[in-house]
Amino acid sequence: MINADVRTSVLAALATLLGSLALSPVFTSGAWFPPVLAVVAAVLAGGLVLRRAAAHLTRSPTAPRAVGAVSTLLVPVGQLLLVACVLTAAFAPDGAVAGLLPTTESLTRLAGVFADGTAEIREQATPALPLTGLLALTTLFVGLLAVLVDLVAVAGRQAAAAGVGLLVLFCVPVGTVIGGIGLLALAAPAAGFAVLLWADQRRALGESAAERVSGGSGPAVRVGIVALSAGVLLGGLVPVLPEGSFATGLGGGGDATGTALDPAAELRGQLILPEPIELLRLDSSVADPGYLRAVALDEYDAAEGWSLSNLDGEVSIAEDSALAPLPGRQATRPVTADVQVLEHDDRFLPVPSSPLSVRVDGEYVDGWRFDDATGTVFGRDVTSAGLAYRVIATEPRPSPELLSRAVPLSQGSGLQDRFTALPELHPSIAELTARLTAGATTPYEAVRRIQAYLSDRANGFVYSLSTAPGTSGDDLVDFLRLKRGYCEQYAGAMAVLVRQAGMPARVALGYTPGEVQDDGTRLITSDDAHAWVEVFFRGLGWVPFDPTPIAADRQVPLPWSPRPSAEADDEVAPALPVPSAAPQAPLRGVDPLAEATPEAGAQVGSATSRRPLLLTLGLLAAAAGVLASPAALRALQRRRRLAAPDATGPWDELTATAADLGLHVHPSWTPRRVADALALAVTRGRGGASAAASVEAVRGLARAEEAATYGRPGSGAADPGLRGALRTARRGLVGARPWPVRVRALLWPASLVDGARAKLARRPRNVTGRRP
Amino acid sequence: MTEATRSADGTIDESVDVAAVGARIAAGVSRVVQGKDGVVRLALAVLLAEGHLLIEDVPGVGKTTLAKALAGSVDASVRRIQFTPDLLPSDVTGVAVYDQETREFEFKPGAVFANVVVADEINRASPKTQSALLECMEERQVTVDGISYELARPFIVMATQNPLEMEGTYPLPEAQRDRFTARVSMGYPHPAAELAMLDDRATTDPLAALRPVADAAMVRSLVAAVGRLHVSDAVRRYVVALVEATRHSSELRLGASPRAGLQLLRAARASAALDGRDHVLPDDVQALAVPVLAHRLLLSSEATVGRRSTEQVVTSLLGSVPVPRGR
Repeated sequence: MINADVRTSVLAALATLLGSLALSPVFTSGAWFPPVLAVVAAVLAGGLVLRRAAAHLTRSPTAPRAVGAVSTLLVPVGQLLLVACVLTAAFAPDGAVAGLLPTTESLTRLAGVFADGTAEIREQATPALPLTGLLALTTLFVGLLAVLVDLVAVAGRQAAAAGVGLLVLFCVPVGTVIGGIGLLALAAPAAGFAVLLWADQRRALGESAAERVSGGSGPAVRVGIVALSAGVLLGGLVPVLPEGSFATGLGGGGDATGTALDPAAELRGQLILPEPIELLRLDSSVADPGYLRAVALDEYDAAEGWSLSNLDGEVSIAEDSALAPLPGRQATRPVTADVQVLEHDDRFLPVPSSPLSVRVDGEYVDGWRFDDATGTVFGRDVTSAGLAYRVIATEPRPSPELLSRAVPLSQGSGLQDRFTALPELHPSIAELTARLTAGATTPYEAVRRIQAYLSDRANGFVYSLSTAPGTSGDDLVDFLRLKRGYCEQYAGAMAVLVRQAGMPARVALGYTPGEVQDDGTRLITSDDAHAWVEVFFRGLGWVPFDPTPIAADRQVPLPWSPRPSAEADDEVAPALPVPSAAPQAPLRGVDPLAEATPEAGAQVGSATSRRPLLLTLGLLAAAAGVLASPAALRALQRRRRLAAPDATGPWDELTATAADLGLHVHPSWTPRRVADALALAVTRGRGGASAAASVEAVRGLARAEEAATYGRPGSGAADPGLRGALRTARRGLVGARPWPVRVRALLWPASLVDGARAKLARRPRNVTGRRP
Repeated sequence: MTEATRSADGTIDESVDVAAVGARIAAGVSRVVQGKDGVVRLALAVLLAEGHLLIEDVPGVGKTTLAKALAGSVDASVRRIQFTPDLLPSDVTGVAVYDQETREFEFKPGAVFANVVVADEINRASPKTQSALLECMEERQVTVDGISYELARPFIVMATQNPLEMEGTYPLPEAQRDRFTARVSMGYPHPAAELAMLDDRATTDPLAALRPVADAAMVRSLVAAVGRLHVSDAVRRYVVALVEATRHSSELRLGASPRAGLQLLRAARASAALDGRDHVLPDDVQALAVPVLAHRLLLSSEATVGRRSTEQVVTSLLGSVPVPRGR
């Protein structure tokens, strides 16, 4: 059986590798794969070498029997040591012997790396950067699974059961990735499971016959195909995730999110966290506070998107002068905000617009600076973790009339140049801007038209956290063409269009003010992360505009830029004449999807609280599907057998049921002996008239089988009474077994594998060519 | 073997005879040989399969009585030969003697000219005499001085034999053991049966009280009926698989011959007919495999050292050779 062990080991390792491909959507790059490959290879090599050595030991006649058992246990221990070696070599070679063998020192380092990894898991959202700590954890995780799969498949001889390990791998992307996880992550674990099933069957066949029989892999392939199809269908249809459909799911994200240090990427990361993180507690002096700004992005690049060019660290917030006073003509509203930091940890401090003073209770007050150009409060070498601070600000509250009176800035002023700077853009953008702003008499009107174009769903724009992949290579052009995106794209696009129209604009990042709690404060979570646009008006300063069609309960009222309400979509025409190319019809098409996305429809109230529920339901449905598939195959088999023209079908079904229930039926048994054994099992399990009826049914089936198989031709014609007898017999058998056995028989019918064995045993050459 | 069992097993007319008559014969024999129904039934099956029976056991357990009882239940001619070292082949087969009056050679038939021949303690005779009998068993005729004499039908030799380690015996060579369809060991009777026997035999001889329930012609028709039984392809394949398995077993030096397979199937037919069935089941083959096959096999030296018996080897083969299914 050594060769069978080698084959199963290799197949188990292959299955683990295939299963680990499910992790691909979790990471932004493929850098996670080499260490995983190394650790799986190490486990495989360790298993092969150790098992070979153990076989040598046990084969010598002097070896006591216990050696075999001990060596079986020692193999996984050796494999775990190899996993530790690989981890040491890859992540903590310092202090290790030859950079490979772990020492106390290197293990301490490794533990540090793991601690980093857990922190990285908390900080990053998927797709995550393959940082060292995360890689180490991933390698450890896959390594342990590889040992487990190897142990179950090779030593436990239950290759199919090892598929549970692959299910664990598969749960990682399902649980963490928002949107589609890609065909590879769906198909690879399914293929791995098929490989395991095949290994299981090869072993079963190998044990029952010396010869190799081609074509024996048929059932495994069939089960694999069913599993794969079930995976693809469930992955697509189950409403696990906001974007979980074929329409957007399989493409992956087309956005060029950069590193986690990039504020824009961090924004998306926060929005797609599976569970919202409580970041801040806001106690505001006004009932309807505005946005909490963290930072503004001032530089646009067609390839990289919006980014922060520079921060001026000269002004400390400890200074007495007002930080960002608004011009006197601007209508303002004083706001005092007390912010308690919960889980927020960033170098940008979220503050209301136009802060005048920020008082931090923490120790590093001096470390906080104010950049006037972007209105950003930031820490030079400190972060917001654990702070409580009070901000006094004057939020801009301009009336539309006031804004309408504002005139364009003169060319050549520093602010005008810096905040209207654009790289060379795709011609279609200038064309769109010209079309939108044609006839606009004031900067305000131009801005309003641009905003109305983007925020009116009649134009086909849909809120979506996973953007469809574009083909133009320019994300802005893709967004304006595909009209799918989230706040970052909306705000970025509007800012570009406003700049294109000649007005200073920047993209502000921060938070909507969150939900009011029972104690009157507002709780701001990662779901409240947001991006919007600020436009500079001469004499009025920076004024926020929000083009993103977010949920009604998150909207910040901006009286100068009312957004078309969701109810008004169908009846009321846009307030401003907006050229629209999108007809109404497609809108209907996208509507259901929009409803499903948490923040697209105003009707969806507490969508965020429904997400875990949907996730749980989806996982349950997927698990139920996987669990039910053997039973479904078995039911198909039963129907086919009952349709057989003679009595052999019901008999096959009866023996298969017995095998499912753990009643072993040896191929060398005659029908009478089988009937005796089953009758004994039935009467032992329970007495009474029903048992007697079942026993009689079993014997009747055996007689029918005898007549059909060994009697004169024509004597075994189908008897309609056999179906009833089979039902009675099955009921008796099932009822005689304890309930755990019944559950196992339902979920994991052993006869599916044994069936292949029996089929093989029925071949004449195996009957005649066997050695006992 | 009651009527109810037979009807449940799907009896058809032509085998009703066999089962009913067989049951009557068996009942008669069992009155004499008490508590040995299995042995009686096997002997009957061998008779209907036109085979020969080798009864092997220690002296005094009723080997000869069984042979005589079977012969007595069937109204057939019985001859008994006591094999001794000085027994001559012509004592068995017969001899041509010169008749002075007619001036011709006249054939004096030997002991073998009977329906039932009881060859007592066959392993006490010289090999030459043994082989004379065994030739008759196979060919069912005796040739003396160029003239062939047909033996009676039915013709069954029931040879008894003491275990080989007893003194003064000439063990049968394997080629000659192969001629016997089955070997059976009587075994000691059950204490209750032995007690009943002690009571009975004190006053009467049950053999003398035995009344025949069938005659030779009836037995011949039974044999013909057995030959008409249906044997499915699956059962034939099963017999071949079993015989083949003995040839490949690592525990056996000599496997079963093709004649063994033939006789196994024939005996299985007879057994099925005695059960009142019109077709042979693998169960019949399994029930007969040990008595039909075991005495023909030779253990390998490892198995001999391991104190295995050929019966055990056949039993373990029965537990590993799958029963074929499908027509």
